[in-house]
Amino acid sequence: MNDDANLPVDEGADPALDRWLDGLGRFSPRQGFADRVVAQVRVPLPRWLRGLRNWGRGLVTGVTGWTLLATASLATAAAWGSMVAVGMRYDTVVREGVSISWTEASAMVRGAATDALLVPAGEVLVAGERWLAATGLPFRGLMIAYAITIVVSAIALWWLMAQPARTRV
Amino acid sequence: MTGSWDLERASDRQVVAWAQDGDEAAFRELVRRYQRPVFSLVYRMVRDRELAEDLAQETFIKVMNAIDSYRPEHKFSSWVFKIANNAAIDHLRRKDLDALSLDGAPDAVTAEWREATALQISDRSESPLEELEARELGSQIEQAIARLRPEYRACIMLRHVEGRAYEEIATVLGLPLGTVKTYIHRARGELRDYLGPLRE
Repeated sequence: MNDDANLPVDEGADPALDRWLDGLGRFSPRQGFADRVVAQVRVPLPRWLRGLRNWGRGLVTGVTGWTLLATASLATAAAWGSMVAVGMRYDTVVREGVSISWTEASAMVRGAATDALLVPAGEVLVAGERWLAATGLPFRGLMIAYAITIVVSAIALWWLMAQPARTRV
Repeated sequence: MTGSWDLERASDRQVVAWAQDGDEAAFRELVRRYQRPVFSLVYRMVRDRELAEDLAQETFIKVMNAIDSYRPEHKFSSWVFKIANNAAIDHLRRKDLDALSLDGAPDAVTAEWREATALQISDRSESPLEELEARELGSQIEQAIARLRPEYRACIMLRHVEGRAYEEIATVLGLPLGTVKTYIHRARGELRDYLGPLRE
């Protein structure tokens, strides 16, 4: 092909053709086109939120199914640990609603754990409870914050791992 | 959130910036501004109204999904046309096409719908007879354009319907400037041949 950027433009040489071409109109799509388009796209998040999301994605780059499994296991263990700790701390409240006290229940658990050669775990739990009581920290607030953190972490993990939404129906 | 008054007066660059910040109204405004140019380009390329609407939708969806990658040093319109043209060309490479209708959407069930979707050839006529003549002339010109190669057609549309400069057409189509000039020169030559009888 003879492509030449200096090729003279022949517009104007044929006024009739120019008039016809310049008179070409535009077509219109069906009414509601914009609505249909907007309904099929997900408008991007604000910049600051996308930056946060990208930062989080960077953290989990290379996450495998095993990592997810481990994370889920840890989160489950943490959730159960939190519930047990709260129960032990507030056993007098909980006791009113059940036929067996939490103290007794935890003793039974510790006994069972001992039988299962898990004495260190029970001792750590008790020691942890004593330590928290000794620090005078707002135990209830700590536990609530802990539980919220677990829930938020789980949601964030799901969000970070989610594939970008598709937009076409 | 931006008001509709601000949106309508804002430049493309500003509206795009708002859209990049997650303003749905800004994106809707971009669609409103470019729906007819994009649809017209694609429709004349693929010559199937329903398909053209699908491809135009696809264009805007791609635009929105990639809005973060848009760089303001380039013209937004060029970017949109480039995506639209690529969508049409990709389709043409896969499919054969049928004839162009000038009378509105084939599935239009109401007069308003047909009118809204019909080609607006000219609104400069002063009488029904002139309007009819303009419509017939427009029909023949459209048929002549439909006979052009898709590459020529895109060049002619961008040049004469959208009024783009040769350099911008080269950017949109990803072609050297000389090639664009050659395409337009040859397209005009072919159109002259096709439309010769109209001069008599």
